[in-house]
Amino acid sequence: MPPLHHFLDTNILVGSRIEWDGQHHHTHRYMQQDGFLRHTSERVYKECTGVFGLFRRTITKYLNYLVKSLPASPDPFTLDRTIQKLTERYTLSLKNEKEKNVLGSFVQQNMDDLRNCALGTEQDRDTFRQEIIDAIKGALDSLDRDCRPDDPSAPVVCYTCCPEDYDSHLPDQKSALITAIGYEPDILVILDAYFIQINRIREDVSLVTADKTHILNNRKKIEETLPGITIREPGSFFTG
Amino acid sequence: MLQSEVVSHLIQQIYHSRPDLKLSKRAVHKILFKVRTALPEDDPVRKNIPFYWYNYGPYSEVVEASIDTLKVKGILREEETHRGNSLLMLTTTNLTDTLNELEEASAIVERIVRNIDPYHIESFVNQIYREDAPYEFMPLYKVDFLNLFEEYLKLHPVGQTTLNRYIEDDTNPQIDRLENLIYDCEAELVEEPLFEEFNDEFTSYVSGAGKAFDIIRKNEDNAYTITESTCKTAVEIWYTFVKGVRILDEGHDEYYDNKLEQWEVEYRSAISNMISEVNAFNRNIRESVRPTNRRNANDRSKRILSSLIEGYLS
Repeated sequence: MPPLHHFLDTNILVGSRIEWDGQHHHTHRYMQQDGFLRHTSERVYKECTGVFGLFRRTITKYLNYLVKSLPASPDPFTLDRTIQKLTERYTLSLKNEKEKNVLGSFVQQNMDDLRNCALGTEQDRDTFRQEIIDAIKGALDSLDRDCRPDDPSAPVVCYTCCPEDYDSHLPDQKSALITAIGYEPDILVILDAYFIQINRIREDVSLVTADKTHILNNRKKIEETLPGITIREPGSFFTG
Repeated sequence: MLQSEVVSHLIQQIYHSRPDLKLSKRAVHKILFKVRTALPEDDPVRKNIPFYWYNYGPYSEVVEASIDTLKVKGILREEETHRGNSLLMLTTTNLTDTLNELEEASAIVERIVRNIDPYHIESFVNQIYREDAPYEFMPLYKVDFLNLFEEYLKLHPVGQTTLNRYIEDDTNPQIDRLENLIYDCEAELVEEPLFEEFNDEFTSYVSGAGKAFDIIRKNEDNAYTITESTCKTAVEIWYTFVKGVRILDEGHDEYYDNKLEQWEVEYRSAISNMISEVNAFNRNIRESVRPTNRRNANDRSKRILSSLIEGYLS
């Protein structure tokens, strides 16, 4: 029987803010499943708010660039190509891969609105920008509703007791994970799950994540190093 | 001519056409900054008036030292106003004649002084931010956002309530304007490696401020304290920003290059304090937000959000 206690990683909390119509993301469906006690840490909560903030910053900056760079009266017949070219140029200036992916996906899926912005009035552009800002605000509100700090009745209990780093609390485990994973931000999240498991929950905990690179691919090493922690993908809990 | 002689002479020139003028130190700095920007690039006088951008706009340690020297010599004296502000005034009517090598700079001083209103120096400073600040973020944040926010706080003292909370009306054009401005500022953050950490913290503040403005709009019991803490944190963020901006090439004249190491130490320490301050602000806002019903997102909002999340998870 898998543990009833789940510790949620950032990608699960971010991904579950919307209903997916695609087949490849299971986060929302996972969050709809009953029968689990869900937990997370303040660090993960902050990572989530940071992700949504970065979405807003990336897109509002891009819209400023686009408006400044488009010709005064763009040719409607070649407009899509113009927007794509400008986007490619702008993407080159971004250093962060995540930002590039976010922008690429945004442009691809909102081309009609971008086209209307280019051909429309300043008011049309303001309205579109406001919708983006409101969409992010909605996601942040929803996150706050789900992850309430140290509230056992919350859909996801958000623990504020985890240490800032684990140099003095779990030095051996941290050192073992650094050798295997080598990426400190994810190691700290994994250690949060373990810290909460041994100090608060005191039962086995599944760390639920979609992170292949650092966590799922190192499942064996993490489970060996941190007894009582199992690493699971959200899709692994689906029945039927 | 020595640098200190050049600057002292130009400060005295400020009073040449208006001997009764009373000016704050800040105004003297800004006038000489404007002189510096108005001089041709190759004019040797420019190098003698070195500036960097700081808390209240362009600031010069050389100008500051010259003001002190002129006070010690008894040429300038400081007078306190009934509001407690210090103003610099001339004590002598025997001003030195304009020196030949400073003729052009002196003419610029006179032209600037003729056009400023000493009682409304703020608009002169704001104009400097708009025309001369090295980054678009600076006039947006300091002149538009912070000034408007501080003004709002003054006009809405503790205990003042509106009917908004009883009639479920959360319209508040001033708060809408402030919220829009903070998003404008976020979209104009300085894209330099030195500012990466600052930018992330700023974005974290903006997310918290968005929630704070919702509380203020509803005019709930805690609206005043939320307004005050949102404004206070915004001011602290500015003081951190300027500690960083003066380090960048665009933020200082070469004269100050030997200070960069020390400035970076001060900036790192300010960033660390800012992180604590923004964390405390966000924690307070999170605890102050009343649970609300889920927002009804329309299809467009859902599409926008799913496109962003899909990009993030890809």
